[in-house]
Amino acid sequence: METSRPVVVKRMPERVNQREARKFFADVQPFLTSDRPQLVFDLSQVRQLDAAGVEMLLRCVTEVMKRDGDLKLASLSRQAIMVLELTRTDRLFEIYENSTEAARSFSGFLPNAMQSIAGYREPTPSAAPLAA
Amino acid sequence: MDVRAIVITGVLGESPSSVATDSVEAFSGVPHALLPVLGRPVLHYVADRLKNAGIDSISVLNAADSSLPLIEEAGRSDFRWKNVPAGQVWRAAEEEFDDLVQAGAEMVIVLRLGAYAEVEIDPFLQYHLDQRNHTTQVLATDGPLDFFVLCGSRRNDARFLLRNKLSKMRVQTQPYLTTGYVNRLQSAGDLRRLAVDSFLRKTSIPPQGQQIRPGVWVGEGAKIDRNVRLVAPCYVGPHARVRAGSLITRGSSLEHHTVVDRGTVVEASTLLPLSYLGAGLDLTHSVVGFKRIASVKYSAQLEIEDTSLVSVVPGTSVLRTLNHAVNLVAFLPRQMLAGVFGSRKIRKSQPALDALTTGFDGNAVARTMTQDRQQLTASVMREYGNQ
Repeated sequence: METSRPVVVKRMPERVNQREARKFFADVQPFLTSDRPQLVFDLSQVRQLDAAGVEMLLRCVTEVMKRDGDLKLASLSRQAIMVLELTRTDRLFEIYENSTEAARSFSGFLPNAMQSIAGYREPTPSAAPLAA
Repeated sequence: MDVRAIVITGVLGESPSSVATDSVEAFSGVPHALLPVLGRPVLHYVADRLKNAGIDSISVLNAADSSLPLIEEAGRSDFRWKNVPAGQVWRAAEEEFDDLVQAGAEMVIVLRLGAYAEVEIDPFLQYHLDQRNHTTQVLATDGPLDFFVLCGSRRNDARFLLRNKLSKMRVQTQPYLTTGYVNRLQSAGDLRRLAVDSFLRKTSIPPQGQQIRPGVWVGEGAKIDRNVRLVAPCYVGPHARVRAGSLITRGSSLEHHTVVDRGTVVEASTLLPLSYLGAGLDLTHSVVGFKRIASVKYSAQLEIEDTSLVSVVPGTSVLRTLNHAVNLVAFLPRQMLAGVFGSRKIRKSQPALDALTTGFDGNAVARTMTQDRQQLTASVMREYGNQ
Protein backbone atom coordinates (compact mmCIF):
# COMPACT_ATOMS: atom_id res chain seq x y z
CA MET A 1 0.00 0.00 0.00
CA GLU A 2 1.61 3.25 -1.12
CA THR A 3 0.96 6.63 0.34
CA SER A 4 1.20 9.92 -1.45
CA ARG A 5 1.80 11.99 1.63
CA PRO A 6 5.35 13.33 1.94
CA VAL A 7 7.80 12.09 4.54
CA VAL A 8 9.76 14.90 6.14
CA VAL A 9 13.29 14.01 7.28
CA LYS A 10 14.85 16.44 9.71
CA ARG A 11 18.37 16.28 11.07
CA MET A 12 18.75 17.17 14.72
CA PRO A 13 21.63 19.42 15.87
CA GLU A 14 24.74 18.22 17.67
CA ARG A 15 23.72 19.59 21.06
CA VAL A 16 20.09 19.41 22.02
CA ASN A 17 19.78 21.49 25.15
CA GLN A 18 16.81 23.64 26.16
CA ARG A 19 17.65 26.45 23.77
CA GLU A 20 18.38 24.24 20.79
CA ALA A 21 15.34 22.10 21.53
CA ARG A 22 13.07 25.14 21.45
CA LYS A 23 14.64 26.29 18.20
CA PHE A 24 14.28 22.86 16.64
CA PHE A 25 10.67 22.57 17.76
CA ALA A 26 9.90 25.94 16.16
CA ASP A 27 11.49 24.64 12.95
CA VAL A 28 9.44 21.48 12.78
CA GLN A 29 6.18 22.91 14.08
CA PRO A 30 4.71 23.62 10.60
CA PHE A 31 5.20 19.94 9.74
CA LEU A 32 3.77 18.77 13.05
CA THR A 33 0.57 20.67 12.54
CA SER A 34 -0.07 19.41 9.01
CA ASP A 35 -2.62 16.70 8.36
CA ARG A 36 -1.40 13.19 9.26
CA PRO A 37 2.27 14.22 9.38
CA GLN A 38 5.00 11.70 8.62
CA LEU A 39 8.27 12.69 10.16
CA VAL A 40 11.72 11.18 10.53
CA PHE A 41 14.28 12.72 12.86
CA ASP A 42 17.88 11.92 12.00
CA LEU A 43 19.93 11.83 15.21
CA SER A 44 23.27 10.88 13.69
CA GLN A 45 24.90 14.15 14.68
CA VAL A 46 23.58 14.32 18.20
CA ARG A 47 26.37 14.26 20.75
CA GLN A 48 24.55 15.81 23.68
CA LEU A 49 20.93 15.35 24.51
CA ASP A 50 19.46 16.48 27.77
CA ALA A 51 16.05 16.25 29.43
CA ALA A 52 14.79 19.26 27.47
CA GLY A 53 15.69 17.50 24.25
CA VAL A 54 13.88 14.35 25.28
CA GLU A 55 10.87 16.41 26.34
CA MET A 56 10.88 18.10 22.94
CA LEU A 57 10.87 14.69 21.22
CA LEU A 58 7.93 13.62 23.37
CA ARG A 59 6.11 16.83 22.57
CA CYS A 60 6.68 16.26 18.88
CA VAL A 61 5.39 12.69 19.02
CA THR A 62 2.35 13.81 21.00
CA GLU A 63 1.53 16.49 18.40
CA VAL A 64 2.01 14.01 15.58
CA MET A 65 -0.15 11.36 17.22
CA LYS A 66 -2.92 13.88 17.77
CA ARG A 67 -3.10 14.30 14.00
CA ASP A 68 -2.94 10.59 13.29
CA GLY A 69 0.62 10.79 11.98
CA ASP A 70 3.84 9.19 13.08
CA LEU A 71 7.33 10.24 14.10
CA LYS A 72 10.24 7.85 13.66
CA LEU A 73 13.86 8.17 14.68
CA ALA A 74 16.80 7.18 12.51
CA SER A 75 20.61 6.89 12.60
CA LEU A 76 20.84 7.31 16.33
CA SER A 77 24.30 8.14 17.59
CA ARG A 78 25.52 6.16 20.58
CA GLN A 79 25.11 9.19 22.79
CA ALA A 80 21.53 9.70 21.68
CA ILE A 81 20.50 6.09 22.24
CA MET A 82 22.21 6.15 25.65
CA VAL A 83 20.10 9.12 26.76
CA LEU A 84 16.91 7.68 25.29
CA GLU A 85 17.52 4.41 27.12
CA LEU A 86 18.40 6.24 30.32
CA THR A 87 15.17 8.19 30.22
CA ARG A 88 13.15 5.14 29.14
CA THR A 89 11.89 6.90 26.03
CA ASP A 90 13.51 4.59 23.47
CA ARG A 91 10.49 2.29 23.66
CA LEU A 92 8.12 5.07 22.60
CA PHE A 93 9.64 5.49 19.16
CA GLU A 94 10.23 3.33 16.15
CA ILE A 95 13.96 3.45 15.60
CA TYR A 96 15.65 2.72 12.26
CA GLU A 97 19.25 2.36 11.19
CA ASN A 98 19.02 5.13 8.61
CA SER A 99 16.62 7.76 7.35
CA THR A 100 15.93 5.92 4.09
CA GLU A 101 14.66 2.86 5.91
CA ALA A 102 12.62 5.03 8.25
CA ALA A 103 11.08 6.92 5.35
CA ARG A 104 10.40 3.69 3.49
CA SER A 105 8.67 2.23 6.51
CA PHE A 106 5.86 4.75 6.13
CA SER A 107 4.89 3.30 2.77
CA GLY A 108 4.78 -0.31 3.96
CA PHE A 109 1.43 -1.56 5.11
CA LEU A 110 2.78 -4.29 7.32
CA PRO A 111 4.36 -3.56 10.65
CA ASN A 112 8.12 -3.49 10.51
CA ALA A 113 8.56 -6.62 12.58
CA MET A 114 6.51 -8.67 10.12
CA GLN A 115 8.48 -7.39 7.14
CA SER A 116 11.76 -8.49 8.63
CA ILE A 117 10.66 -12.13 8.85
CA ALA A 118 12.43 -13.93 6.02
CA GLY A 119 10.16 -15.28 3.33
CA TYR A 120 7.08 -13.62 4.71
CA ARG A 121 4.74 -12.33 2.03
CA GLU A 122 1.69 -10.20 2.38
CA PRO A 123 -1.23 -12.61 2.02
CA THR A 124 -3.11 -12.10 -1.19
CA PRO A 125 -6.89 -12.28 -1.01
CA SER A 126 -8.00 -15.72 -2.08
CA ALA A 127 -10.23 -16.12 -5.09
CA ALA A 128 -12.60 -18.55 -3.42
CA PRO A 129 -15.15 -16.91 -1.20
CA LEU A 130 -15.08 -17.85 2.44
CA ALA A 131 -17.65 -20.37 3.53
CA ALA A 132 -20.32 -18.76 5.54
CA MET B 1 64.82 -10.63 53.07
CA ASP B 2 64.10 -6.94 52.60
CA VAL B 3 61.60 -6.56 49.78
CA ARG B 4 60.01 -3.24 48.89
CA ALA B 5 57.63 -2.10 46.19
CA ILE B 6 57.17 0.77 43.77
CA VAL B 7 53.68 1.21 42.35
CA ILE B 8 53.27 3.51 39.36
CA THR B 9 49.81 4.88 38.49
CA GLY B 10 48.33 7.30 36.01
CA VAL B 11 50.62 6.52 33.13
CA LEU B 12 50.39 4.12 30.23
CA GLY B 13 53.11 1.56 29.71
CA GLU B 14 54.79 0.83 26.43
CA SER B 15 54.40 -2.93 26.19
CA PRO B 16 51.77 -4.05 23.66
CA SER B 17 49.59 -5.51 26.38
CA SER B 18 49.48 -2.20 28.23
CA VAL B 19 48.30 0.02 25.43
CA ALA B 20 44.61 0.59 25.73
CA THR B 21 42.66 0.39 22.53
CA ASP B 22 39.60 2.56 23.03
CA SER B 23 40.39 4.27 26.30
CA VAL B 24 43.33 5.29 28.40
CA GLU B 25 42.79 3.15 31.49
CA ALA B 26 41.04 6.10 33.08
CA PHE B 27 37.58 7.45 33.69
CA SER B 28 37.32 11.19 33.26
CA GLY B 29 41.07 11.49 33.83
CA VAL B 30 41.14 9.43 37.03
CA PRO B 31 43.06 6.15 36.57
CA HIS B 32 40.90 3.07 37.02
CA ALA B 33 43.41 1.84 39.59
CA LEU B 34 42.53 4.76 41.86
CA LEU B 35 38.78 4.38 41.52
CA PRO B 36 36.93 2.48 44.21
CA VAL B 37 35.49 -0.94 43.52
CA LEU B 38 33.07 -2.21 46.17
CA GLY B 39 34.17 0.37 48.70
CA ARG B 40 37.91 0.78 48.31
CA PRO B 41 40.30 1.91 45.57
CA VAL B 42 41.85 -0.87 43.50
CA LEU B 43 45.26 0.38 44.63
CA HIS B 44 44.41 -0.50 48.24
CA TYR B 45 43.61 -4.10 47.34
CA VAL B 46 46.95 -4.39 45.52
CA ALA B 47 48.76 -2.82 48.47
CA ASP B 48 47.03 -5.20 50.89
CA ARG B 49 48.28 -8.18 48.90
CA LEU B 50 51.81 -6.82 49.07
CA LYS B 51 51.46 -6.17 52.81
CA ASN B 52 50.17 -9.68 53.41
CA ALA B 53 53.32 -10.97 51.73
CA GLY B 54 55.41 -8.99 54.22
CA ILE B 55 56.22 -6.01 51.99
CA ASP B 56 55.73 -3.04 54.26
CA SER B 57 57.38 -0.29 52.26
CA ILE B 58 55.22 0.72 49.31
CA SER B 59 56.09 3.79 47.26
CA VAL B 60 53.33 5.12 45.04
CA LEU B 61 54.27 7.36 42.13
CA ASN B 62 51.17 9.03 40.78
CA ALA B 63 51.35 10.67 37.37
CA ALA B 64 47.65 11.58 37.19
CA ASP B 65 46.55 15.13 37.94
CA SER B 66 46.40 15.26 41.74
CA SER B 67 43.71 17.95 41.68
CA LEU B 68 41.24 15.50 40.18
CA PRO B 69 38.61 14.04 42.50
CA LEU B 70 39.30 10.74 44.28
CA ILE B 71 43.08 10.93 43.70
CA GLU B 72 43.79 12.24 47.18
CA GLU B 73 41.36 9.74 48.64
CA ALA B 74 43.40 6.86 47.19
CA GLY B 75 46.38 7.82 49.36
CA ARG B 76 47.05 6.05 52.63
CA SER B 77 49.22 6.89 55.60
CA ASP B 78 51.39 3.81 55.07
CA PHE B 79 52.20 4.73 51.45
CA ARG B 80 55.17 6.81 50.39
CA TRP B 81 52.99 8.84 48.03
CA LYS B 82 54.56 11.12 45.41
CA ASN B 83 52.73 13.11 42.75
CA VAL B 84 54.97 13.48 39.74
CA PRO B 85 54.40 14.93 36.27
CA ALA B 86 53.59 12.26 33.70
CA GLY B 87 56.71 13.08 31.69
CA GLN B 88 59.00 12.48 34.63
CA VAL B 89 57.43 9.46 36.22
CA TRP B 90 59.97 6.93 34.90
CA ARG B 91 62.87 9.14 35.99
CA ALA B 92 61.22 9.46 39.41
CA ALA B 93 60.87 5.66 39.53
CA GLU B 94 64.62 5.30 38.90
CA GLU B 95 65.37 7.69 41.75
CA GLU B 96 62.93 5.87 44.02
CA PHE B 97 64.57 2.56 43.18
CA ASP B 98 67.97 4.00 44.12
CA ASP B 99 66.58 5.37 47.39
CA LEU B 100 65.03 2.04 48.33
CA VAL B 101 68.23 0.14 47.57
CA GLN B 102 70.23 2.62 49.61
CA ALA B 103 67.79 2.10 52.46
CA GLY B 104 68.56 -1.61 52.37
CA ALA B 105 66.16 -3.21 49.89
CA GLU B 106 67.45 -6.49 48.48
CA MET B 107 64.61 -6.93 46.04
CA VAL B 108 62.23 -4.34 44.63
CA ILE B 109 58.89 -5.11 43.08
CA VAL B 110 57.98 -2.59 40.36
CA LEU B 111 54.45 -2.61 39.07
CA ARG B 112 52.34 -0.33 37.01
CA LEU B 113 48.59 -0.05 37.60
CA GLY B 114 47.36 -0.76 34.93
CA ALA B 115 46.00 -4.12 35.36
CA TYR B 116 44.66 -5.58 38.58
CA ALA B 117 46.46 -8.88 39.03
CA GLU B 118 46.32 -11.24 41.98
CA VAL B 119 49.89 -12.47 41.69
CA GLU B 120 51.07 -14.98 44.30
CA ILE B 121 53.88 -12.86 45.75
CA ASP B 122 55.82 -15.50 47.73
CA PRO B 123 56.05 -18.08 44.92
CA PHE B 124 56.93 -15.27 42.52
CA LEU B 125 59.86 -14.11 44.67
CA GLN B 126 60.96 -17.70 45.18
CA TYR B 127 60.90 -18.28 41.43
CA HIS B 128 63.00 -15.15 40.89
CA LEU B 129 65.59 -16.40 43.38
CA ASP B 130 65.60 -19.96 42.02
CA GLN B 131 66.10 -18.78 38.45
CA ARG B 132 68.85 -16.39 39.60
CA ASN B 133 67.38 -13.71 37.36
CA HIS B 134 68.29 -10.06 37.48
CA THR B 135 64.74 -9.15 36.53
CA THR B 136 61.67 -11.32 36.40
CA GLN B 137 58.40 -10.36 34.77
CA VAL B 138 54.98 -11.79 35.50
CA LEU B 139 53.18 -13.39 32.61
CA ALA B 140 49.42 -13.93 32.65
CA THR B 141 47.56 -16.30 30.36
CA ASP B 142 46.55 -13.38 28.11
CA GLY B 143 49.98 -11.72 27.94
CA PRO B 144 52.70 -10.09 30.00
CA LEU B 145 51.90 -7.80 32.90
CA ASP B 146 53.73 -4.67 33.98
CA PHE B 147 54.74 -6.48 37.15
CA PHE B 148 58.46 -7.06 37.81
CA VAL B 149 60.83 -7.97 40.56
CA LEU B 150 64.37 -6.62 40.40
CA CYS B 151 67.43 -7.47 42.41
CA GLY B 152 68.55 -4.50 44.47
CA SER B 153 72.14 -4.97 43.36
CA ARG B 154 71.26 -4.73 39.65
CA ARG B 155 70.84 -1.01 39.21
CA ASN B 156 71.73 -1.06 35.53
CA ASP B 157 68.98 -3.57 34.83
CA ALA B 158 66.54 -1.43 36.78
CA ARG B 159 67.55 1.72 34.90
CA PHE B 160 67.23 -0.04 31.55
CA LEU B 161 63.81 -1.37 32.40
CA LEU B 162 62.47 1.91 33.72
CA ARG B 163 63.93 4.01 30.90
CA ASN B 164 62.15 1.72 28.47
CA LYS B 165 58.90 2.18 30.39
CA LEU B 166 58.80 -1.47 31.45
CA SER B 167 58.72 -2.63 27.83
CA LYS B 168 62.24 -4.11 27.54
CA MET B 169 64.54 -5.98 29.86
CA ARG B 170 68.33 -5.72 29.62
CA VAL B 171 68.68 -9.48 29.85
CA GLN B 172 65.73 -11.55 28.69
CA THR B 173 64.66 -14.04 31.34
CA GLN B 174 62.00 -16.66 31.75
CA PRO B 175 58.84 -14.94 33.03
CA TYR B 176 56.82 -16.17 35.99
CA LEU B 177 53.46 -17.50 34.88
CA THR B 178 50.66 -16.49 37.21
CA THR B 179 47.42 -18.37 37.44
CA GLY B 180 45.74 -15.76 39.62
CA TYR B 181 42.92 -13.44 38.63
CA VAL B 182 43.88 -10.74 36.10
CA ASN B 183 41.80 -7.81 34.90
CA ARG B 184 43.47 -5.36 32.51
CA LEU B 185 41.27 -2.46 33.69
CA GLN B 186 41.51 -0.78 30.32
CA SER B 187 37.91 0.30 29.86
CA ALA B 188 34.79 1.02 31.87
CA GLY B 189 33.67 -2.49 30.95
CA ASP B 190 36.71 -3.93 32.72
CA LEU B 191 35.87 -1.87 35.79
CA ARG B 192 32.38 -3.32 35.76
CA ARG B 193 33.73 -6.81 35.25
CA LEU B 194 35.99 -6.42 38.29
CA ALA B 195 32.98 -5.54 40.44
CA VAL B 196 30.93 -8.45 39.10
CA ASP B 197 33.84 -10.90 39.47
CA SER B 198 34.25 -9.73 43.05
CA PHE B 199 30.58 -10.39 43.75
CA LEU B 200 31.03 -13.85 42.28
CA ARG B 201 34.11 -14.47 44.46
CA LYS B 202 36.38 -14.85 41.45
CA THR B 203 38.70 -12.26 43.04
CA SER B 204 39.80 -11.81 46.62
CA ILE B 205 38.11 -8.39 46.82
CA PRO B 206 35.51 -8.39 49.58
CA PRO B 207 32.71 -5.79 49.48
CA GLN B 208 33.32 -3.25 52.25
CA GLY B 209 30.19 -3.27 54.31
CA GLN B 210 27.73 -5.32 56.24
CA GLN B 211 25.99 -8.14 54.45
CA ILE B 212 22.37 -7.43 55.37
CA ARG B 213 21.02 -10.24 53.19
CA PRO B 214 22.82 -12.92 51.20
CA GLY B 215 24.57 -11.05 48.41
CA VAL B 216 23.52 -7.56 49.53
CA TRP B 217 26.17 -5.42 51.18
CA VAL B 218 25.48 -2.03 52.71
CA GLY B 219 28.13 0.37 53.95
CA GLU B 220 28.05 2.42 57.11
CA GLY B 221 25.62 5.34 57.15
CA ALA B 222 23.85 4.35 53.94
CA LYS B 223 20.21 5.46 53.81
CA ILE B 224 17.86 3.19 51.97
CA ASP B 225 14.19 4.12 51.80
CA ARG B 226 11.53 1.61 52.70
CA ASN B 227 10.21 0.50 49.35
CA VAL B 228 13.56 0.13 47.63
CA ARG B 229 14.35 -3.23 46.05
CA LEU B 230 17.90 -4.45 46.45
CA VAL B 231 18.35 -7.59 44.40
CA ALA B 232 21.48 -9.63 45.13
CA PRO B 233 24.25 -9.28 44.30
CA CYS B 234 24.57 -5.55 44.89
CA TYR B 235 26.54 -3.11 46.97
CA VAL B 236 25.47 0.18 48.54
CA GLY B 237 28.48 2.11 49.80
CA PRO B 238 28.87 4.22 52.92
CA HIS B 239 26.61 7.28 53.19
CA ALA B 240 24.92 6.44 49.91
CA ARG B 241 21.25 7.38 49.57
CA VAL B 242 18.73 5.28 47.71
CA ARG B 243 15.33 6.92 47.50
CA ALA B 244 11.91 5.32 47.40
CA GLY B 245 10.83 3.14 44.51
CA SER B 246 14.34 2.47 43.22
CA LEU B 247 15.64 -0.88 42.12
CA ILE B 248 19.31 -1.84 42.44
CA THR B 249 20.01 -5.11 40.71
CA ARG B 250 22.29 -7.46 38.77
CA GLY B 251 25.65 -6.75 40.37
CA SER B 252 25.26 -3.00 40.67
CA SER B 253 27.60 -1.10 42.89
CA LEU B 254 26.88 2.30 44.43
CA GLU B 255 30.02 3.77 45.89
CA HIS B 256 30.15 6.16 48.83
CA HIS B 257 27.99 9.31 48.94
CA THR B 258 26.06 8.42 45.81
CA VAL B 259 22.41 9.37 45.49
CA VAL B 260 19.85 7.40 43.49
CA ASP B 261 16.67 9.39 43.19
CA ARG B 262 13.10 8.09 43.25
CA GLY B 263 11.95 5.33 40.95
CA THR B 264 15.27 4.84 39.22
CA VAL B 265 16.46 1.42 38.09
CA VAL B 266 20.17 0.69 38.36
CA GLU B 267 20.99 -2.53 36.57
CA ALA B 268 24.48 -4.00 36.13
CA SER B 269 26.01 -0.54 36.66
CA THR B 270 28.48 1.25 38.86
CA LEU B 271 27.97 4.67 40.39
CA LEU B 272 31.30 6.22 41.27
CA PRO B 273 31.57 8.20 44.51
CA LEU B 274 29.66 11.47 44.86
CA SER B 275 27.40 10.79 41.88
CA TYR B 276 23.77 11.79 41.71
CA LEU B 277 21.41 9.87 39.45
CA GLY B 278 18.09 11.58 38.75
CA ALA B 279 14.57 10.34 39.33
CA GLY B 280 12.75 7.86 37.09
CA LEU B 281 15.77 6.81 35.05
CA ASP B 282 16.84 3.45 33.77
CA LEU B 283 20.60 2.96 34.01
CA THR B 284 21.88 -0.28 32.54
CA HIS B 285 25.38 -1.61 31.85
CA SER B 286 27.08 1.69 32.58
CA VAL B 287 29.54 3.45 34.81
CA VAL B 288 28.45 6.86 36.08
CA GLY B 289 30.64 9.49 37.66
CA PHE B 290 31.81 13.09 37.35
CA LYS B 291 28.74 14.06 35.24
CA ARG B 292 29.65 11.38 32.75
CA ILE B 293 28.16 8.09 31.68
CA ALA B 294 30.25 5.35 30.12
CA SER B 295 28.14 2.71 28.48
CA VAL B 296 29.58 -0.77 28.44
CA LYS B 297 26.95 -1.84 25.93
CA TYR B 298 27.74 0.86 23.38
CA SER B 299 31.42 1.41 24.30
CA ALA B 300 30.78 5.13 24.43
CA GLN B 301 31.10 7.94 26.91
CA LEU B 302 28.69 10.79 27.26
CA GLU B 303 29.06 13.96 29.24
CA ILE B 304 25.77 15.14 30.70
CA GLU B 305 25.22 18.77 31.55
CA ASP B 306 21.62 18.35 32.64
CA THR B 307 21.73 18.13 36.42
CA SER B 308 18.30 16.53 36.57
CA LEU B 309 19.77 13.40 34.97
CA VAL B 310 23.28 13.09 36.36
CA SER B 311 25.25 15.44 38.57
CA VAL B 312 27.87 15.52 41.27
CA VAL B 313 27.17 15.54 45.00
CA PRO B 314 29.32 18.10 46.89
CA GLY B 315 32.47 16.57 48.31
CA THR B 316 32.30 17.90 51.88
CA SER B 317 29.54 17.49 54.42
CA VAL B 318 29.23 21.28 54.91
CA LEU B 319 28.64 21.81 51.20
CA ARG B 320 26.20 18.91 51.11
CA THR B 321 24.17 20.39 54.01
CA LEU B 322 24.22 23.79 52.33
CA ASN B 323 23.06 22.21 49.11
CA HIS B 324 20.15 20.50 50.88
CA ALA B 325 19.20 23.78 52.55
CA VAL B 326 19.21 25.66 49.25
CA ASN B 327 17.07 22.96 47.65
CA LEU B 328 14.60 23.13 50.52
CA VAL B 329 14.42 26.91 50.40
CA ALA B 330 13.81 26.78 46.66
CA PHE B 331 11.26 23.97 46.98
CA LEU B 332 8.97 25.39 49.63
CA PRO B 333 7.94 28.67 47.93
CA ARG B 334 7.41 26.81 44.67
CA GLN B 335 5.06 24.36 46.37
CA MET B 336 3.25 27.13 48.24
CA LEU B 337 2.70 29.08 45.03
CA ALA B 338 1.50 25.96 43.28
CA GLY B 339 -0.89 25.35 46.19
CA VAL B 340 -2.31 28.86 46.04
CA PHE B 341 -2.49 29.48 42.29
CA GLY B 342 -2.33 26.01 40.79
CA SER B 343 -5.63 24.61 39.60
CA ARG B 344 -6.36 20.91 39.65
CA LYS B 345 -7.67 19.49 36.43
CA ILE B 346 -10.42 17.00 37.13
CA ARG B 347 -11.32 14.91 34.13
CA LYS B 348 -14.81 13.61 33.86
CA SER B 349 -15.37 10.09 32.72
CA GLN B 350 -16.70 9.56 29.23
CA PRO B 351 -20.43 8.95 29.43
CA ALA B 352 -20.42 7.49 25.91
CA LEU B 353 -19.00 4.24 27.25
CA ASP B 354 -22.17 3.01 28.96
CA ALA B 355 -24.26 3.94 25.95
CA LEU B 356 -22.18 2.02 23.44
CA THR B 357 -21.00 -1.03 25.31
CA THR B 358 -23.55 -3.52 26.33
CA GLY B 359 -22.90 -5.16 29.64
CA PHE B 360 -20.35 -2.54 30.54
CA ASP B 361 -21.07 -0.51 33.61
CA GLY B 362 -19.92 2.96 32.67
CA ASN B 363 -21.14 4.36 35.95
CA ALA B 364 -18.64 2.16 37.71
CA VAL B 365 -15.84 3.97 35.88
CA ALA B 366 -17.38 7.34 36.51
CA ARG B 367 -17.74 6.59 40.22
CA THR B 368 -15.19 8.41 42.29
CA MET B 369 -12.78 6.67 44.60
CA THR B 370 -14.57 7.86 47.70
CA GLN B 371 -17.80 6.35 46.48
CA ASP B 372 -16.10 3.06 45.73
CA ARG B 373 -14.49 2.87 49.12
CA GLN B 374 -16.31 0.67 51.55
CA GLN B 375 -18.10 2.57 54.23
CA LEU B 376 -16.12 2.68 57.40
CA THR B 377 -18.07 0.72 59.91
CA ALA B 378 -17.11 -0.74 63.25
CA SER B 379 -16.78 -4.22 61.72
CA VAL B 380 -14.42 -3.02 58.98
CA MET B 381 -12.31 -1.22 61.54
CA ARG B 382 -12.09 -4.41 63.57
CA GLU B 383 -11.00 -6.36 60.49
CA TYR B 384 -8.36 -4.03 59.07
CA GLY B 385 -7.32 -2.07 62.11
CA ASN B 386 -6.65 1.64 62.03
CA GLN B 387 -5.02 1.84 58.57
